Amino acid sequence: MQWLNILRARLRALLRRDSVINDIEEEMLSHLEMETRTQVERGMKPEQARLVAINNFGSLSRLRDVAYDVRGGGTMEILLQDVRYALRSMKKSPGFCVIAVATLAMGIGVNTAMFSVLNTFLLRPLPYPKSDQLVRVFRTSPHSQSWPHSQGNFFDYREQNDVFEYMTAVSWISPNLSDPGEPAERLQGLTVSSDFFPALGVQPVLGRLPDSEEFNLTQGPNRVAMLSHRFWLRRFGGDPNAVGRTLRLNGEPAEIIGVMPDSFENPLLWGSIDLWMPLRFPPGLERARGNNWLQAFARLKPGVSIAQAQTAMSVIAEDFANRNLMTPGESLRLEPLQRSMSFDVQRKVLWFTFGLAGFVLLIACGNVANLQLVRTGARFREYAIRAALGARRGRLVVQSLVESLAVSLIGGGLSLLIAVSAAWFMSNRLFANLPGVKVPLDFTVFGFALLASVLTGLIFGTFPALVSSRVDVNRMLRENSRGSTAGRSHNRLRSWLIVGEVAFALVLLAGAGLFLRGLQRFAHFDPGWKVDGVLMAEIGTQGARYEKDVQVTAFINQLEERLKTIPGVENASISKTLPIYSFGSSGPFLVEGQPEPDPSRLPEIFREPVTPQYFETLGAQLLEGRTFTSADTVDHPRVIVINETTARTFWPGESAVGKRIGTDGPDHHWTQVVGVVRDIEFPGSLEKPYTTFQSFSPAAQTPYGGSWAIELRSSRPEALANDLKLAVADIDPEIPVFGIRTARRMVEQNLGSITLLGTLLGAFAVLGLSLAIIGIYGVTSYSIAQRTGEFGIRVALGARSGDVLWLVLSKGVRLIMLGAAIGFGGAYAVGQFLAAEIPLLPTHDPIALGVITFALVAASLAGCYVPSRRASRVDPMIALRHE
Amino acid sequence: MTQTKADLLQGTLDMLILKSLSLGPLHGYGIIQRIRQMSGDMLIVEQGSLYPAVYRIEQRGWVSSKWGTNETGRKAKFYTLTRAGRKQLTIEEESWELLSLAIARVRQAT
Repeated sequence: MQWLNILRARLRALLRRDSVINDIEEEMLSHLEMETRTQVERGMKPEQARLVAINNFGSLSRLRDVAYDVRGGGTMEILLQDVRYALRSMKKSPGFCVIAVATLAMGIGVNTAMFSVLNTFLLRPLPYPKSDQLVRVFRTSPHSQSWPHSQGNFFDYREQNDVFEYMTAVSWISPNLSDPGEPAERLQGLTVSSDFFPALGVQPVLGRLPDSEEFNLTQGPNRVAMLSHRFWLRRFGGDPNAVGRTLRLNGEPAEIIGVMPDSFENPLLWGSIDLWMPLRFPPGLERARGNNWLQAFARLKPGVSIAQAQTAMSVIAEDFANRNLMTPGESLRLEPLQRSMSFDVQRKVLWFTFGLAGFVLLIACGNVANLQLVRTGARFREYAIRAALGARRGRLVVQSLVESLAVSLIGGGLSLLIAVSAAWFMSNRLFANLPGVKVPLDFTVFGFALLASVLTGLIFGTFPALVSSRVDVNRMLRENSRGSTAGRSHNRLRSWLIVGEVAFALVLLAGAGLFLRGLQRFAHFDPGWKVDGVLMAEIGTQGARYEKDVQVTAFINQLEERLKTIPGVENASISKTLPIYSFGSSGPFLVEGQPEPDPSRLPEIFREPVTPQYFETLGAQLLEGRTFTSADTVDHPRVIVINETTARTFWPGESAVGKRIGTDGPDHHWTQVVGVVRDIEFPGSLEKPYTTFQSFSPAAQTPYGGSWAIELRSSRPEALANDLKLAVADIDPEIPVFGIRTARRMVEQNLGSITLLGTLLGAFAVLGLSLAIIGIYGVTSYSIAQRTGEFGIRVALGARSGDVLWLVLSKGVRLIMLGAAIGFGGAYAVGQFLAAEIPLLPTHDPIALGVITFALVAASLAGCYVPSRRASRVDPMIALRHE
Repeated sequence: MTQTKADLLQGTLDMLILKSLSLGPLHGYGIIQRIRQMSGDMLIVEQGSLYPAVYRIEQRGWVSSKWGTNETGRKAKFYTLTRAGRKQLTIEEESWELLSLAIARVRQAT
């Protein structure tokens, strides 16, 4: 704690200089008086005694100064002096200040803004106590690292592990809220097992948590629900009496027993949540292992690290595999819950954008470093005089650094304005679908801005500081000539600034350009179906009226017929999920008549239930065989349509139609392939799907409950939204329709955050390019201004203006080419990185890279040419008199 | 008045100040008197050396200070040895003993 004492003393000495000095003087006086008194007691006369005492004491003022210094005033006072001096010299050159501060504010602002986005997704801890102890538990297989669990396995993990304090299973639900007399509304919620609330460690603000009886896995009293704060405000206007009321969910009553606090919902992790309900299973199925549908997470026991827990869970998984409770090759994987908030591609794009933002700052640093050099050059005499008067080199360096830091801190302060408006802008766009979520500006962000400012100040301030301290006093004071002030090191530094700016700008431009071009090309990829002209929506068939398969089938049949009658609809279909980012379910499969692979190597295939017109509606091309008809019902043999990749992989060179595939269970449920369609790709996702094998079954043969999706093809799809709603209400008014959007709009929304980051990148690139061109222009202009005299002499001695132009330009060209070569290497590496990390994004684009490089070189040359041209027009008379 | 001035090493002065305070709180003047008395009038610390040293020691947290009144009722600043200061005193006394032992050995060597 010693340094703390010292710091406190220093600050005290600095801030309350007078009181510290008073304190010291008071003590000295008291000392003097005691000394006098002693002398008087020894028999001296008072006046004489006083004189002796003062004499003994020595110089009071000197002692006071020394004492003040020791008590911490000295160092601080020098620093304060430096700061004051820095501010004064900034005031003397306001032009420099405004430009430097503005440049830095932009550079730091861009970085702070990007950091605040990064912080929102990747860094900010979850709003739960000791949230670093929370982990997500995934099942892994050779196909994917993020599978859900069956209830049987989940409860076994929960009982057999000794590393988790709590382990809980959740499943997302979208119940239909239909109070009599009000339009049906689709809610979003989570069904959770009993450990959910204890694991997160949060109590309700109103009411109570469900008790163990309400968490009973199969029966028990009526269902209960906890409301989210936002839903409580929206539905009940924040009325405390809402607790105890009932909601009609899927046609059944559920009692509201509590309201959770505002922060608990955390939509970035869970999605928008209206309510939480205890997880229930049909009687007899509470330990079933057939269906993997539960997401699991856990709170680590205190003192247990995630690595230890991972080891323990791997051992359990191995045991499960040995006992055939898990497929060979499967295991369990833990991941910090915070991390599971973002997808792989999202994380990569965020870091990528953040990294490129750093280049904007580097370019800004280059510009300000040049400005500092210019100022240093103009102040060489001042430095020389200071050095001659005895200033040590260290003092000069520190003082110059303090000046740079003052500039960068002011720039950093202003950059917060940019960061605040950027955060506001991005909150509105990134979280348009997640009400209440914002990009927060917390202390981490401010801390980052401060750190960035200080680092920036050090980066652009160090070189000028070193140059200024290397002043040759004798030479400087003897010479008056302005032209010879810049030493060689000074010039070399300036050359490197040009090289650096060109290189950084090229990497930045190439990164942004390749990424944006990739996004653009991805948007125009043919996904195997016609995205334009399709209206999509989702519905939920839930509750008692849709418990039996025949009920679901009847509803789907009726709805399909009704949808076809909407005027303007060309084709209408219903499917389990929307082909925007992935299909809903998949499973391992076997090919009849082919050797059965090792159980751990079974291929995985998507299984998508669809109605007959599905392929026509999407515009997916049938390659072979037939699609479904209304005759493909449960009473007829089971059939499927598969995609091209599956057909080519398993029946190369022959027709897949008529062949059969089955599941890996004991009775294989062999199903006949009746048709082959082109691969259906997902235009709304940059994540690689975990399998490329797809199969489609008639919805009538696979009438699963839960949510379904509607697709309508029309020449004016957006105009059909209301008709679609009415059509569903015609069949069942209690079923809400939600997410009515054109397929194109869905794709755009799904890629929204990545597109937004791409747009930001574009903005960074424009900013970085402008800064770089200004920088190159500035550096060249200044070099030329320094050499005006020299050019004057050259011209006077007979050089033609072309010679002078070439003299200046050739050096610029060399530096720009060197920068472009270095930058091209960096840009190429960035391209390789993008291609490797986001394989679905078509970023391989040598033409774009070439165009960007060419454009940058041309722009840089222009930035260099304009001032060079001026040099070539030097009038020798004026130039020489200028000296 | 005969004064024997010993040229005090800085570390030694620190030790003397700490030692003088080990019996109880003193003001600056009192520290000088105590050292003088303990050394049998051999060591007289000048004010100009004392106060910077005391302030330095205070910053290190070995003594703490407080304004109070002296025996004649005048306002004076009193210094008290802290726990850390007591520990430091032991350390310095030990190293001083080692040093004087070493010097004695050197001097006795023939």
